[in-house]
Amino acid sequence: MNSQTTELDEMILVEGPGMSEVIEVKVKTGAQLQEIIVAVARVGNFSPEKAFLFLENETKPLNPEHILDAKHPRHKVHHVHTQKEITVKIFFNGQEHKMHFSPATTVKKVMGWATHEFKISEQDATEVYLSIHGSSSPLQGTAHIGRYVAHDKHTLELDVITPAKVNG
Amino acid sequence: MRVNQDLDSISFRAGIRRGFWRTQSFEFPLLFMLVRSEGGNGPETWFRFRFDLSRFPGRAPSCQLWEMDSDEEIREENRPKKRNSDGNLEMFDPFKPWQGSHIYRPWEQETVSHLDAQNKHPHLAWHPDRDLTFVLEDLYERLNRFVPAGNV
Repeated sequence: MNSQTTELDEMILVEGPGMSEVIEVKVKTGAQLQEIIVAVARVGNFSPEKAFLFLENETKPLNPEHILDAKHPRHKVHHVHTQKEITVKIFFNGQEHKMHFSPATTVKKVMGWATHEFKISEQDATEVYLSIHGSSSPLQGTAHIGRYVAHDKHTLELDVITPAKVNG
Repeated sequence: MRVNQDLDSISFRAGIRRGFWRTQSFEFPLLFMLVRSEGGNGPETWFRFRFDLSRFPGRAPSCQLWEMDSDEEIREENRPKKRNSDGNLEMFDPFKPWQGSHIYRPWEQETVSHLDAQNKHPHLAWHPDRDLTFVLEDLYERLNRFVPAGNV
């Protein structure tokens, strides 16, 4: 890698605990991935020392000593969280199911698991969504669940909401 | 201008980087967007949407399915379709013919009053605090909720 390339700034898309939307952090090409962790920890006001960095929907954290090089999938949304796993408990129709997910798991993926566990048919699933337990506001399908779990917590309770279908 | 703010937001640009949508052209009030249907086991397909953003965001966006290669409403055979449990192709509800080629979603200008969206579908109804990313995420979600078969 030449010296000119190492001076270039990269904008990496990241989510983390407490964030309302994806953010961009600036990291130099050739820097260690640890710099992404440090930048997000600064925004989220937590210690970077024990935080993990994931790619979206991946369960295994990236090695923070790796270099942000040409092969790095920079188009993917990253996730920084102090928890390696989130315990997700989902409620629907008086039943509940529990599963462990990486904080970088999308709401859409958790929704897919929930519709399977609660045996919600494909047709019925057209308009269902997940909300924080006790609330009716929908969570964005593309959001990572780690957004909704504070850095010092490791559980997330969700409801499956089945609103009226949108059809003529 | 509020539209420019939306087009420059991180969440909107994130959608482009993730390959969910692309901006084709924007000359106020008309915005043409391409949104990707992942295609399940079939090929991915992009669909073209024509937004009329006159009086946006106070007024809900008008959104129509548009032909990819010509300046006209989408033809029936090119509408997004999914494979049903019998293995046959059928149209997605939001993309069935409605007021020409308008999208049948609670945030859409033609649909909002027809559906009584503010009361019946408040989580999807339009209000000025929403942005274009909200609309595009809903379109992307609708196109990819099932395994779509793309164009026939």
